[in-house]
Amino acid sequence: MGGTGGAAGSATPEVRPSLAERGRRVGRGAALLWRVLRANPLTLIGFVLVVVIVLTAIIMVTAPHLLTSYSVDQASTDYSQGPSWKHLFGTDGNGIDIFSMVLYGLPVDLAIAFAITGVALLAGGGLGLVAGFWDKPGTAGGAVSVVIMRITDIFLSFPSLILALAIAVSLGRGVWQLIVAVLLTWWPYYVRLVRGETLAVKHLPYIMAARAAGVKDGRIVLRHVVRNVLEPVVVYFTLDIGTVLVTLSTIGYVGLGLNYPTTPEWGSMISYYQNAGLITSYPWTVLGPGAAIFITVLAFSLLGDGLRDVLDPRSRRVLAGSASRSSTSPAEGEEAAEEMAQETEATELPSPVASAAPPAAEGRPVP
Amino acid sequence: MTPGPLVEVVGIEKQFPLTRTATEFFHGSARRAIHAVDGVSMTIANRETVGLIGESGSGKTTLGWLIARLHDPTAGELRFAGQDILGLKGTALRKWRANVQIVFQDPVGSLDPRLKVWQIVGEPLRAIGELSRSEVRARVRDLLPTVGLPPDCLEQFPHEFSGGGRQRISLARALSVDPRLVVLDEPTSALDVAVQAQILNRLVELQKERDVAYLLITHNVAAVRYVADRVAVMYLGRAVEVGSVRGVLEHPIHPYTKALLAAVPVADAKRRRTRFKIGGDVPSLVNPPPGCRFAPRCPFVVDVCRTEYPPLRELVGAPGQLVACHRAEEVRDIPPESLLVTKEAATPTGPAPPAAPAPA
Amino acid sequence: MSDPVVSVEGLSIDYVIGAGRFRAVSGVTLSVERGHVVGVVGETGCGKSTLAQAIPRLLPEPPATIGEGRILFQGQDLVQVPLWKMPRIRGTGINMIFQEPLNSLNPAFRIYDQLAEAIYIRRVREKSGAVTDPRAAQAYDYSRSQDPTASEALLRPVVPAGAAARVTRRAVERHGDLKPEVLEYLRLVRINDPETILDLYPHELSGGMRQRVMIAMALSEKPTLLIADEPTSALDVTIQAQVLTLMKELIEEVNTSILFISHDLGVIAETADELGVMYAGKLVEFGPVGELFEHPRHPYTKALLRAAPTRYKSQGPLSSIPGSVPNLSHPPSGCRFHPRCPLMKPNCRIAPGPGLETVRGGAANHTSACFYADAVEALP
Repeated sequence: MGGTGGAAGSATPEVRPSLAERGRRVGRGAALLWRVLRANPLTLIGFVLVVVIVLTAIIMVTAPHLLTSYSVDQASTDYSQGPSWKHLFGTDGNGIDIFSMVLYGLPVDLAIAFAITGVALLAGGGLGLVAGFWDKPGTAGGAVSVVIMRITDIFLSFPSLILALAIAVSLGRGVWQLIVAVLLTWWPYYVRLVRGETLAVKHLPYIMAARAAGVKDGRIVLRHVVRNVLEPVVVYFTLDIGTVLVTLSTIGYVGLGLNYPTTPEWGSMISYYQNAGLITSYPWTVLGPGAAIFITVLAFSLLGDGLRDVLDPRSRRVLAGSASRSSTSPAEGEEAAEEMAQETEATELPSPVASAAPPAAEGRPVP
Repeated sequence: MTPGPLVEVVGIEKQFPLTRTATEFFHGSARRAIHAVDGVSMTIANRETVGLIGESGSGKTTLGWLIARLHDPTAGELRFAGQDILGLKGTALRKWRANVQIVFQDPVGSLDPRLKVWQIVGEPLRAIGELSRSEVRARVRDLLPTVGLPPDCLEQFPHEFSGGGRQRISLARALSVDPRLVVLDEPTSALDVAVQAQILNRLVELQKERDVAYLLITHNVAAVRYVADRVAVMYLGRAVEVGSVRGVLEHPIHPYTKALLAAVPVADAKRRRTRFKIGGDVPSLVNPPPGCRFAPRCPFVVDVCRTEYPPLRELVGAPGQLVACHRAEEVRDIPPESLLVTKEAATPTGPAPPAAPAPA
Repeated sequence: MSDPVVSVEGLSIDYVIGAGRFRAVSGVTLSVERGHVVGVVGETGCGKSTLAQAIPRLLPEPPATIGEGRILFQGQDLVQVPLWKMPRIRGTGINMIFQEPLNSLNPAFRIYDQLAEAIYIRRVREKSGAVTDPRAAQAYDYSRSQDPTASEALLRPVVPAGAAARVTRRAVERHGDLKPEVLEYLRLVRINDPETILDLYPHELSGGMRQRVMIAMALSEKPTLLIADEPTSALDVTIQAQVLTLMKELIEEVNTSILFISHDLGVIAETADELGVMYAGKLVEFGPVGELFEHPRHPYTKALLRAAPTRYKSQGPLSSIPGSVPNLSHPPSGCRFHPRCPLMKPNCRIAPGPGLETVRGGAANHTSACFYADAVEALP
């Protein structure tokens, strides 16, 4: 009789001390990460850049003298110098070293960006979960959901940059004011995203199965919904850091940002030198922070795009190679390949068969 | 006193309201609804397996979910072991759920991809909340061999299993709390035939071991034939024939049951010459036809079928077999094969099935 | 007498995914005779769908690669044809019907547009001489009248090579009135009032109707070979029976050559002349359907037949096949079925395992890849 049929019983019986097991898991995770990165050069570049950027930021906060010999706003005796080994990005008319100012700006920009996206993720994501999971019309949860979504819609109906600028104007200059101004326009996107993902996950059979098992709603949300919504949200979050950086720079550029040079933020820095009329005679004063913005945004974008592939279990398997699995179910690899084959088939059909059919429903919309 | 049935369903209905279109809204017309289940009565005894056969849109899954209290019925009564369970809410309902568990059709979607086997199987146990983590793990470890899984796969993830393995995990989850009834919602339809047989055989063995009743929802007549004691055939939200497996599947009376049996492809080269006579599409559940739901496709239709719904009734000489057909006496002896025309008998143009007009 | 429309010779297809590599189809030899329906059955992951998609070169390459073998179609080896030339062969040469008719019809186009496009492409190719197999076109003698003036308009062939010809409604109609032929094909698939569905979108049709439209689309290009990949598996039983009945009638009327992929032996029994059974990427048995069902000569075929549903099966445990399908990245050595086989002897484990050989006392084209093919009859 086919007693032990379906599941391949190739796993050897073993005692699993949870600590050792956990260590092995971490090791396996690192190995997987490396394989994935090696197979995707762009993701690798993004990953390395982000690591370098974050390390630099940490050094600049803890021990800035390792990377630069100047303190914030400290002038040298070289005035208006072009880029050289001594001053990589040159100096401005006051003798301030642009490179060290860019470095000092890094933790400021990153901190502000993470603060904004982080709070937006937590607040917006939480509201999105609530609005998505308890949305049955005619119940208290449904009413709450409607209220959340209408408020979100109101915020979304303003162009976010202009709203942020308006709030920045009314709040005045300063780090906290800047964070609040951008944050107020930022959270609604997370509500939308998380609510959409929650609605999609909520109707999957395993949520029904949990309900049938008698699991409480709150536990279903924490145990099943959050874990399965996390993946697209993390990808969006990573990509979003770049977007926030650009927004910050824009606000700084129009002169509503921080007070350069006492608070070195890149957008404000560009704005400061542009207003000082240095952009034509001493272009390096602007190019330095511009390049910093560009590289940082690029790094997070590359990493975000790569994460999208890494976090999807199916493509992760494909990326990392199917041979690495310890106890694979029969023909598992082929199933994956056949799934892929079927997905591609929709777009490669001969002409009479219309080709706009979207790939299998599993591909979640990730903005 | 004889023990009553485990589950007693009386005239249960479930409608899913549709959103009104703008025109309907401004004309003030009533909300239309999908009549998924439209007045079904049935019982399930202790340790019994009832098969529920029907095609998509027949309401068989909705009925199963109503019995598992995953839907709230629009009307009707539902009793479990004599107790009215429609009034259960909140914590009482959650506690009751240990009595009725469900195995879903989709072997991929019904298991959370981010949980390990022991967490999935142990979820109903944890929901009751009487056992610690390690106790749950131990229970799950003991349970896995009974469904034919190795006990050392506790730490594996669902995607490491084939479809059959995943359905075994689902089954283990359902059985973990020793339910009195397991609703099996198309448990094998996503699996290959050889694997289907493994799972069905295991289901039968488990029933003997564990004194559990099954409601087997499926379109697979062979599975019902093997596993079930009694069977109900559903069409468009209504039960058209109910009775013992032997009676209904060997001597089907309702024309739809006959059609369904005749339509099942059989591995027999002679089938090449046969033509299926029943045409038409399954009508919409939004505006179900008045009278017998099968009338638009029925080869034996007469005028009364189109206006009056035939109640389920017992025929003389077929005790325990209930049929909802006006012409049951006349059609009872017509074999299902007569709905297949062999090529020799067919007219040159073929018995072109009249295709139903497209739904608007 | 042998006049194959397509011959697959020793075809092997590999999937290379990251560091992993496995052979989804290994050394399959199979041909479809003109006017015949050849069924291919097997369980999930046996490679039948891969084979079906490899013939019109619809497999994504990579990750799939055709390792070895030939696909002979109309005098050329499709394996050697550059992919950009394949669209000219697809459609009028090889056409496909897929399992899920909702995904295979473009949701953004009305039924009329989709069918008209297919007919338009065929007309353009006929005019330009791109339809290389006149016998195939002749088989479709049911197409009654063709407006000669409409055909005149097609003199200038404009099918872009390399890209799938995606044409707008206006472009189609500039090339003549296609409506009569659209209606004719919809009637061919037994849609009684075809006018009523012309302006509908695919989602407005039922599953059975969509599959009829798909069949009409495929046939309207008058393909030399039609590949049907599980065409009825997504349908309900009675609707499946209707579509199968339609297909059986069309097989006789249209006399087209069909490669019919299914997991369901019952469905194959309804349609096919010959049947190939695949297991773990290999073809293990091939033969006329009647003989293969009555006298299977491979233990796997026998087991599959025993597990297949029969309506009048007596009570008792259902027949299953012990064990599970092997992992194709590490297939068993020798005969791939040996770990589950009741007839297994030591030599079954030795590579390269049994090849397909004509069985004794059977039809000339009945072959089995089993050393003990003669002993299969005696199995329970």
